[in-house]
Amino acid sequence: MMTRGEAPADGPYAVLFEPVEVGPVTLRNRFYATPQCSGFGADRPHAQAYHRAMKAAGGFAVVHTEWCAIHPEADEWPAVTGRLWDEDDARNLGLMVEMVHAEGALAGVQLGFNGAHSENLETRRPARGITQVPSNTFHFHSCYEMTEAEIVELQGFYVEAALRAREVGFDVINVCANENAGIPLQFLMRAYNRRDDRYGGPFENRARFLLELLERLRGALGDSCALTVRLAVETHHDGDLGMRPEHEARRVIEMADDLVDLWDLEVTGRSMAEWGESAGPSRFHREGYQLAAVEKARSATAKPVVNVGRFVHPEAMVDAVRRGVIDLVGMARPGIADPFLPTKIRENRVDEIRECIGCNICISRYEQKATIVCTQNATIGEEYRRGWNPERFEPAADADRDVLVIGAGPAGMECALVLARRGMRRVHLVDRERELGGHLRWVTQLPGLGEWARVVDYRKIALAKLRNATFVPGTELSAADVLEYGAELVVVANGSSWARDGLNGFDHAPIRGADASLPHVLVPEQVMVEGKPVPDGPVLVYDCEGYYMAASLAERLAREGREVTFVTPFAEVAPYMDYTLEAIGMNRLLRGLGVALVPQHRVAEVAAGAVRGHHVHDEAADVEWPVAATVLCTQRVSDAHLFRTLEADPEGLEQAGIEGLYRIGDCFVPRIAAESVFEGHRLGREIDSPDPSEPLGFPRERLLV
Amino acid sequence: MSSAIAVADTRDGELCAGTGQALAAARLLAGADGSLALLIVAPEPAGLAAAASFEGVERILTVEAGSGTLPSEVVAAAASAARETAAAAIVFAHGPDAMAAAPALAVELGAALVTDVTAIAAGGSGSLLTRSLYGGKVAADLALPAGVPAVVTVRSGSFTPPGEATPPTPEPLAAPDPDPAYEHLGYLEPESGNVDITRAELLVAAGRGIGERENLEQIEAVAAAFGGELAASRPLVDAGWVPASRQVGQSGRTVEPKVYLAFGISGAVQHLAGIRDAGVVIAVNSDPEAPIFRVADYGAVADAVEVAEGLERVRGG
Amino acid sequence: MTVLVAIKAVATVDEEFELADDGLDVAPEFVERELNEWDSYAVEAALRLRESGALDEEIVLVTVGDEDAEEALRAGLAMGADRAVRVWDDSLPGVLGPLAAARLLAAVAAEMSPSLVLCGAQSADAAYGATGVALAAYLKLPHAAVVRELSYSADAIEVTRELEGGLLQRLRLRTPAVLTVQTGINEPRYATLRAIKQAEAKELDLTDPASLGVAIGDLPEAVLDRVYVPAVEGAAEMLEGTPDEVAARIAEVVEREMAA
Repeated sequence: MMTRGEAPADGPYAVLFEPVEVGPVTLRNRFYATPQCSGFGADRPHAQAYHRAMKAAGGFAVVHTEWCAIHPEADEWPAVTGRLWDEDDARNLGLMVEMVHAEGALAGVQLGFNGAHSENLETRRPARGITQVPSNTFHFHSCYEMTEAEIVELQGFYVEAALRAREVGFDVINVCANENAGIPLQFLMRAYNRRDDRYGGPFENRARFLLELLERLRGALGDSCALTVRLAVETHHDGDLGMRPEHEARRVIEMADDLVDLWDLEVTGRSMAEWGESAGPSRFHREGYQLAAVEKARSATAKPVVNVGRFVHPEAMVDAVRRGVIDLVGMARPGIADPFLPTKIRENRVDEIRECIGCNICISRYEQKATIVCTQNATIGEEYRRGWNPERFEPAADADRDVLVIGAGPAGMECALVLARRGMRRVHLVDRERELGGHLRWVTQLPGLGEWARVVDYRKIALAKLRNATFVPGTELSAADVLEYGAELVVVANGSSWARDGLNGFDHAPIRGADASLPHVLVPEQVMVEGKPVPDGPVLVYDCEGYYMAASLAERLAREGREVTFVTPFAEVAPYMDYTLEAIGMNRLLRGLGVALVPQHRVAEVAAGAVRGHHVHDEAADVEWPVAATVLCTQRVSDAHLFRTLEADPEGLEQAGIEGLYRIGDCFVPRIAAESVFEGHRLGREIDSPDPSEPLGFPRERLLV
Repeated sequence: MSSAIAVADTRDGELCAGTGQALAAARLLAGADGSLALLIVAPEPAGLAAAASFEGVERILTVEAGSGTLPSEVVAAAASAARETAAAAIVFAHGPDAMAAAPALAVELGAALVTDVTAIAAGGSGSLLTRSLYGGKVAADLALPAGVPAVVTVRSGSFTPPGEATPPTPEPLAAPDPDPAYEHLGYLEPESGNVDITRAELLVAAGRGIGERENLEQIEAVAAAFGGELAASRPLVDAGWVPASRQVGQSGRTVEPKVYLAFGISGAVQHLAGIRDAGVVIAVNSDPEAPIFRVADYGAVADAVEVAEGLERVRGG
Repeated sequence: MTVLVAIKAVATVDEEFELADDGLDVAPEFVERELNEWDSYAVEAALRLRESGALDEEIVLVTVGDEDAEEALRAGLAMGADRAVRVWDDSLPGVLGPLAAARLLAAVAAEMSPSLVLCGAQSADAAYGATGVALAAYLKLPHAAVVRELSYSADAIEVTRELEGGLLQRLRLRTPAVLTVQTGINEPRYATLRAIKQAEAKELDLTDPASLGVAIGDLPEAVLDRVYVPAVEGAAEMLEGTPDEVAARIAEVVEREMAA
């Protein structure tokens, strides 16, 4: 067994475990946890610290904070960010530094100031910007144009924040110049910088802010910390409005190279809202998708380069390092899905990695102003308040019990896995289908969602290694079968199915004429699993859910050459995808495929040959769509029957020796897969608590009066 | 000094490749100066005997079997041939036919039995036979007991067949009496249709190294040209290019084809776990460091698609 | 009457392992035992014959093995077999040769006069693929190896055997007979937790070679000299040249191997 920090002597991945010098500090290997939002911000210092420390424990060489506002003028609230406004903020982050250091890693902090994009809703300050142009991301929000003196003052804010960070022990100071967010990047881009003084106009002038800033930071910090820049090398603007890797990016890298110890290079979109180009969902971006752009800028620097790109395969990491494109493998999401990814590669346990699926549910919670979650890793964000470590499981106090888990979807698989790891005597995971996965078996056949199958793959491989876990395929159990089965603990996780009558949250009722037993009315399972033919002719897809299902089916049907009309009561197509940074790309994609997008419309009646509806705010504005078929994605309905039948028979349960009956996942409430996985995990972790059906409490980081 | 018999491996009136390999093993067991006989049990053995042009075969013994050769006929014929030649070893090519006959022959002759042998080394006191245990994780050497004959079956591809020579005149042996306990009812051709890559003999597999989705057609063309099935590593299944039923690896299927031809597969651990039992692995990848080259029998550092195009030309021409 | 199913608790070896000090096996701490996959199909075949009404007889499992083999017997009992017999004696070697196992199983069978004996076509660990057929030879019963389908009537059994390359042979055998079954002949059932618990509580019959009148030392078994980790196969033979030259070499290899 290797000890932490020890590199494997040889083997295909050895290069990933070579130490790398970054200015005055040495990274123990090439795994670099980039700045990443968590939802913990400045108000949850314990959660913040424990969350970061888990990555350090998992083998990363350096672990960063999230974006930290350097000054009250960079106030993102209610979005949750780190803050370095004063010494108290710094002291709270110091806990993270201490815990990261204790795990043998270095701690990095990102300094952020967003100019026009800071709404300052908590501080109520006017925002300072480069040129008085409103934000293209936040509604009705502008800024004032700084004087040269105010620019120098702003550089001072950075220096003061950096010194506060150094004071609490940070080893790496990173300047945010990416995602349209960092004001140093905005200075570089004509799209933001219309000044005609020393800081605007020709590129040398536009670069002046960053160069002066780096000089001042270097002067203040000396060699006590590594000084790094996270720079967008590609912003996808037209012409010279933004950053192009072979032009603006190369120039600024060459100009600033002497002042910087490392470049964190990345690709981003045209506006802050398009940071899905930086944190690319698997629907649109494959592993290592940024390397091509980074490679164009790479030779401009003599310093180490890091780049993200949702790397999960060590082969791809080794390849990028060997080709000389990157020196360090940057990771945010892969380290969320598996904080122990570096350790697992080092110990040649590659098949045990919980690979990121690129669903961006982690980011959705930041966008929703909530704390981080992950589809693959139920423990993320729970490091402090629930004390969960993804690799550590305590033997259950009731481990002599046999468990029956009914339904091998995300919830059931995860619950069975956790229970088996906790040493329950036997865990039987039973499913009516032949394969593990539940609804993911077919959801992953939707266009662009193939990587989601990793949720199943990880659990399939892990369960196969546990001798006390058995997957029983092809078996549908009735309530009577469950009583006969012989388990002491029964977990029902048999999922949900799409409403076949158009029941939806807008009408709080079914839709007239919507009956999926008719040939021209279909629901997702009929299209994807049952092979029900979609009648020839135009198809209407009706979406009352707002996430991926309807949009993906519309994409699939359009790719098959169908004429597709997408109708939804929401103000925009697939609004939940705003949270996952997929909405912009999905809208572009569907438009490109010729799908007619009809937001803000409700369907009132489905008939053979026509669907009738109206504008959500004007019932008189009725519309008729002449279509041959309608696919209803209105809502999912829990398959609650089995649980309710068992629950209603306490005598039967007692006679059968069943001590505990629980339900998890979509059969309880249909939600995102991440919540199903979480519920399965939570129940497994708490199966020996006084009442496993009721989640244990957790400490909240609040001020008590 | 010593004599050995190889039992011919036949199918549809032709000798199969196992025959020469069994002869090679029989030669090792007989010793360089031992005598070697080939036993052919088949419906019309004369034609097969005439085609059995193997160097070093002193005798060819033939037994006329019924139209559907029964293991019981093979056992009876081999037992009488073994007694007739005082054979010290009777060797079969390992497979379903040998599995049905060799153990019964060993019991009949009071012989030792070692199956699925991969190597034979001459030792001081006798031969050492090598075979695999635990799915190939370890190898075992076994010594044959003295004073009794040995029935041995040998793994396909483990022994190099002897060179060519004019076959000796076949010596027909009396056909055994039909055993009333058995009745051959007929042969059935393998079913086709449903794709089950775990049963395919040739898998042509594609990985992310093939680049664009269009290139998959080229790999499919190679599979079609050589009568193989298409398989894939997980990235292609992830990308939705190939259905999951064709995925090889830890989270897909474990396969055991005779030949696994991998295009653009780097060889992640999970993938390699699925081809552990493959016969010959041939890998084409542009990355010379690709881990698959460490498990492949043949490798080529080349553009996968260009080689695939070449293969289609070779087969087409 | 009885349907006898001979099974084996096969050893599965961890990915990382070491050899035992005597050099004759993998060290026991790296080994786990489980019901041989092929044998689970044999148990299922017996259960289905009974359930279909074709052969309504007691289903008895038999194995040769030490105490660690009991879990595999219990797995078969949990599937639905009626009782189980284990043959052991501490004088037996840990790794039995194919003849010794068959001879001992035959002795158990001879005492029961079964109407049918079922075995897996091979074991996952030693993979001799010989026990069933040798057992039939000791019993002087008709046999069929590598069976993919079977149907049973009182005086004859019809089977489909798997031959090389997927070719199938249909045979009729006089009963009683011994069949070795191939995976895929059926889908072995999964035992419920209740059945597993009931199987755990069952008494297993234990017998030894002496009681069966068998001295395995008399059998002409090959002698294990040593086991070792095979040398890692050398690096791949690299094919050089233009893509067309490489393609030509690959075509050659594929054609040669497929013909083999």
